[in-house]
Amino acid sequence: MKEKLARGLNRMLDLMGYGEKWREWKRKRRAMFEEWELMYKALKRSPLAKAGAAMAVVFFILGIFGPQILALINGLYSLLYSQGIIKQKIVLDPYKIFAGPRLGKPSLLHPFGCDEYGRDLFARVLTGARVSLIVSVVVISLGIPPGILLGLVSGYYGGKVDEFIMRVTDVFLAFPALVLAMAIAASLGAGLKSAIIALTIVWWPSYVRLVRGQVLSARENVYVEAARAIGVSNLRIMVKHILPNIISPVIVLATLDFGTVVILNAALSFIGLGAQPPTPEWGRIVYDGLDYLMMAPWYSIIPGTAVFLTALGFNLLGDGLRDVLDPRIRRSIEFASGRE
Amino acid sequence: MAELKYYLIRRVITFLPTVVGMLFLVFLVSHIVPGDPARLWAGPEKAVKPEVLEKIRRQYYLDKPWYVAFCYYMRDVFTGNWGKSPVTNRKIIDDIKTYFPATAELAIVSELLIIAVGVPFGIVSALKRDSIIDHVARVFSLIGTSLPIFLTAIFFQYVFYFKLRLVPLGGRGVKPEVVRTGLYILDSLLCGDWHALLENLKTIILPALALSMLGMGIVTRITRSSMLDALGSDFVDYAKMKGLPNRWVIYRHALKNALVPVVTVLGLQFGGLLSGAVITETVFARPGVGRYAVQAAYSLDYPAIIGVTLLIGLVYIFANLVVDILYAWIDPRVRL
Repeated sequence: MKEKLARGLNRMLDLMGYGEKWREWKRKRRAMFEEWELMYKALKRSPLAKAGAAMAVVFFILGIFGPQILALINGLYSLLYSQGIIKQKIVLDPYKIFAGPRLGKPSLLHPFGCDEYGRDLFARVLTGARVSLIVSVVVISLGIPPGILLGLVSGYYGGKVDEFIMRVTDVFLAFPALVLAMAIAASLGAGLKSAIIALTIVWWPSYVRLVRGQVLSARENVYVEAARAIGVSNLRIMVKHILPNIISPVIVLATLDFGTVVILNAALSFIGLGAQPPTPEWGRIVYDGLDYLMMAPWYSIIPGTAVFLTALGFNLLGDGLRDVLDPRIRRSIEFASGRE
Repeated sequence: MAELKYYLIRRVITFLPTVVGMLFLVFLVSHIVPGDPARLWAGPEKAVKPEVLEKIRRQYYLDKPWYVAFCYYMRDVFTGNWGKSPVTNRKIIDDIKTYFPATAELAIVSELLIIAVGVPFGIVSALKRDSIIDHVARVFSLIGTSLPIFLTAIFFQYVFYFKLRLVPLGGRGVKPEVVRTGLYILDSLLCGDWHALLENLKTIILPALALSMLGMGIVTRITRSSMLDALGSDFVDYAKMKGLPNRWVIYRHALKNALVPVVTVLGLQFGGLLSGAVITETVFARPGVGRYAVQAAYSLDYPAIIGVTLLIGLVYIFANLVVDILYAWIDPRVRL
């Protein structure tokens, strides 16, 4: 199967005229590919990391294809209705009120129950995955690069530049993330966009600290000195020589942070500063359900559990990656699997 | 101890710029916003009279250049002039004084819980590596770090109040006979009001437990790994070779060194506790600054939100100062 795919790919590239270039590129990057294969093998050996990866993938799938999945289920329901197997006509829609009984219990037709307006909670939680996914992807991809860049500059140049960047970072770190995000979101006016901006603004400082610490030790290496001796520019040394060697802890932290962003975004909506109703957002659904905790505990607990499982998945995956990305541990796995 | 004195002086001198920087950040967030900042400070009303806006502009120095405004702002922060709520028309600083003890009490009890559970759990799982306890500790810390506080809080409330009726729903607890510090548990201990003490402990146990789950997980993990580091180091081997009893080696030599990073994490956790209190207090209807902030957010009471931000920022950097001093006291290397 794997060989077939590889051969197919090669053939396709040959037809497009890129075949030789691709093979050349692959030959050059052989070490990298081998390393990736090892990582994959190491990851496969850890059941917890596998579970985490599976949960993360499920989160991504639900986030991207949530509405399509909902449409599929609706199609199934209408089929069952037309066959007379179920008695009432049911459409799962996150916004439709009186789709079911008010605060209805979880049942076969409404697997997660209904809220106080009779909206179906399964549809709302499923659609909520997309909001969480968008927020976490945007915050992680916009918040981390500036952190890495500032950390690189700070650690590499040292001196006054370092002092200035670190003092600014310290000021940002002088706040608990949620509290600063709360103030920023309130200043911008409550809403999903403000929540995203607020979380992005509070996200970079921890990466500056992490990257700077790594650069401080990496810049003393002989390969950096060698690169400098042959006249490689500072920018190129930072990006091409130092960064690839210090990126693993950043990847681990970013994976763990994916879960943290989901939690913090839910917390912001819980406070009332995130996505506004009727947008289905996990934290907000939890807040709305608080008043009905005695009558309808599932109302709050199910979306809360969705946040928990997402965070747990990324935490498990991050932990697994930490072991895999550490070359010493990876080598020991390599020995255990009988290579070399 | 002379170095300790110099260290303290150095640390306090570097503390001041951080406070000013923090104030500047809050100032930046609250005074220089896209749109008209005066509209934000004016509160939730849609149509505000121009003369009211003008008054607010003068009151918060929005009509002055930013550097002048910042100087006035710093003066106001230190003299306790934190603005007035447009919703309740009360002074923010008075509200914060009323609500802060409840939050302080909650954070302190949670921090104590974290120390009481996290540290021993971490030590035991390091000593009995790969045993059942170690695995339990690992799972516990993983779950602790992944649980959103609102879920823990709601779950506890549902099980222990709605189902078992073991504890009160929440709230502030019973006021002891004499109130001196505002921390009800401490006050009822001081004046010997046992009934109030019991009630207050019952009230605080659930929020504190919910709040400390995250910290417990992190502290367990850090204690375990730093204890393992310490147990594998040369000085422990040396102490064993000298023939010291095992217990002595572990608690006198290894533990003392292992606790150094744990203290730092405990300090950092305090910030997590303060921001977690925002959510815990809302779930348990505990009248602290956190719940105050959430109510302010829902009623668009902007000065109150900024006031709470300022307060938590100040408390957090002060807590970190205390931790740094503790750190220097435990670890002589830091002082140099």
